[in-house]
Amino acid sequence: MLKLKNIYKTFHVGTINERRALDDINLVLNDGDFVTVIGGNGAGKSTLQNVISGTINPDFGTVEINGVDITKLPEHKRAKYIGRVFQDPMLGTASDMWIEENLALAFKRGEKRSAFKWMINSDNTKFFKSQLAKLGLGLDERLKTKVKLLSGGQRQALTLLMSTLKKPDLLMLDEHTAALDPKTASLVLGLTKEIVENSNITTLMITHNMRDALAYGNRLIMMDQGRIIFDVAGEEKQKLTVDDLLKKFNQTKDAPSDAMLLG
Amino acid sequence: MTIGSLLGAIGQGFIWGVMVLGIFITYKILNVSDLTVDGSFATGGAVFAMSLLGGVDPTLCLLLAMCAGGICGLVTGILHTKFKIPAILAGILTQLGLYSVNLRILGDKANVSISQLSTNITFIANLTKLPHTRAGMILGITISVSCILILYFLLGTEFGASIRATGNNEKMIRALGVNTDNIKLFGMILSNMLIALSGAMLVQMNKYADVGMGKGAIVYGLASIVIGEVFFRKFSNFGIKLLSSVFGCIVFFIIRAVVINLGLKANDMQLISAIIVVIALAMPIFKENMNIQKIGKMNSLNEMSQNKSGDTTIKDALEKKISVETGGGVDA
Repeated sequence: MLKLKNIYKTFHVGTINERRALDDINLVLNDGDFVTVIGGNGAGKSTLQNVISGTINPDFGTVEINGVDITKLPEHKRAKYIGRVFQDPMLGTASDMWIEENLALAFKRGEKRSAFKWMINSDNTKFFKSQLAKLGLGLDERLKTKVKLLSGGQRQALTLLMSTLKKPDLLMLDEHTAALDPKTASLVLGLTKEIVENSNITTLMITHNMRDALAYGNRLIMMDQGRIIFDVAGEEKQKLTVDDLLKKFNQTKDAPSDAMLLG
Repeated sequence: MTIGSLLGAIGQGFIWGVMVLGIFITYKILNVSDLTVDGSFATGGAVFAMSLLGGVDPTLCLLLAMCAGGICGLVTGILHTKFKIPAILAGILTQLGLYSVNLRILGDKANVSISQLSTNITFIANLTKLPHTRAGMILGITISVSCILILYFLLGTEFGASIRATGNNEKMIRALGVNTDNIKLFGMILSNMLIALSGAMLVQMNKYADVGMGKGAIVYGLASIVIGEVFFRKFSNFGIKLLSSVFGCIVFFIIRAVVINLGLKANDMQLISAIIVVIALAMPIFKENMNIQKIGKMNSLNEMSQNKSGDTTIKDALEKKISVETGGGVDA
């Protein structure tokens, strides 16, 4: 369970560029929630994710996961709880290392890494192979291939697998299909749905695509100017259409960006 | 060049090779340029010489030198990771400061002789009845091979893999729970320990410590890595890469011996190694430019053939180009 209480964040305080990125955010994600987050540029989606993952400290407020206050924990100590997939496919994997090595690194997420235990061993190789086979991309036959030889889509699918190899308390997807072509994007989204639902992982997915935001997850959050302006779940979300969302957007000060209109 | 001077060069290569392994850790594995080298190499030598003069067992002196090197690495590491000073500047600052420290260690003398004292090398020489330089080579081989093996096993462990990942994709490995600052700190300490060890062995070999003995060491090291890469380009296994850097260092010292044999001075080697590194670093740009020129040629070939027959494709032009390159007759 993720709990955000009274989160505030302002950038460039005291300058002409002062901008309130998060304005009293209160949010509770229940176990197993698959939440999609939408909002225009500068709405605060990314800042929200950065505050949760620990790359940015909030000015005020607390972040809790499973009852543990992690507000003051540095990024690397939060890894125990959080699995992440980034927008840039290059960021989620170590390109000069094998597929197998990347998985082995991810398998130890948030754990102590022994200086006396060989990282690759036959036991986890078998496990990695079976997990890769589930992606259906043929990567299970290429364990010793360097990741830099994979396509963006393959890398993103691999990152997704890596972030969930050890079940996280929270999975954060930061526009993880935005850099992919439409066909690959839907493939990766399909895999996302499958993995999240099979393991019942609490997920926060930022997207720029309204259709995806509607099609996936059981709950939808819309942000604007650092606030959550719309929070809908369950059946109510099922009934929601792109038109409804557009209307909501038009009520806000910022007109939606072109990308959203094309949604 | 005599067999004697060739073997001497190889011996030097093994001794300096340990330093190259140290540079390899920071420069290639962690992807940070640590310029502490020139200072910590001499620190290792100075600490070894002075503790040996103080009556300490030579093997223990080697360990003391390593510790001193580790402290140098720790200083640079803290400057870089805690105070966020860029790695290059942090290294330069430490190196600059170390010059004064090294002079202090050597008792304000520019060089200190240990020629009357027994060392690991004299021990090996007595045992095997080999001359001093051959015994030095045995010490160099033993230590550099052990270092390669230890590093190979370390880098294959869970912890070691996170070191490699830190150099490869810092953001990713931090998201997987690794404190990358600590990893860099560790890498810099380990690297400078090896560098100081190498300096201490060189003092044994030369029978004296000199405050300027580390001058240009970083360039020697980079040149060695670059030369090694030329020979082992096709291998991506990090064990082979470690081996290749020591091999590169041996080749480097053989080149150095040849150059000296040709009548140049040993000091010219600084310029030559700088040129080797520059060429290696500039190579990708040269290649890129050559590729662009090739595209130009190909396009003009394509135009020519189109002008002639009107319906030739790029494929034809490519074939034509290949036949030009392979020396086949063409009537364009």
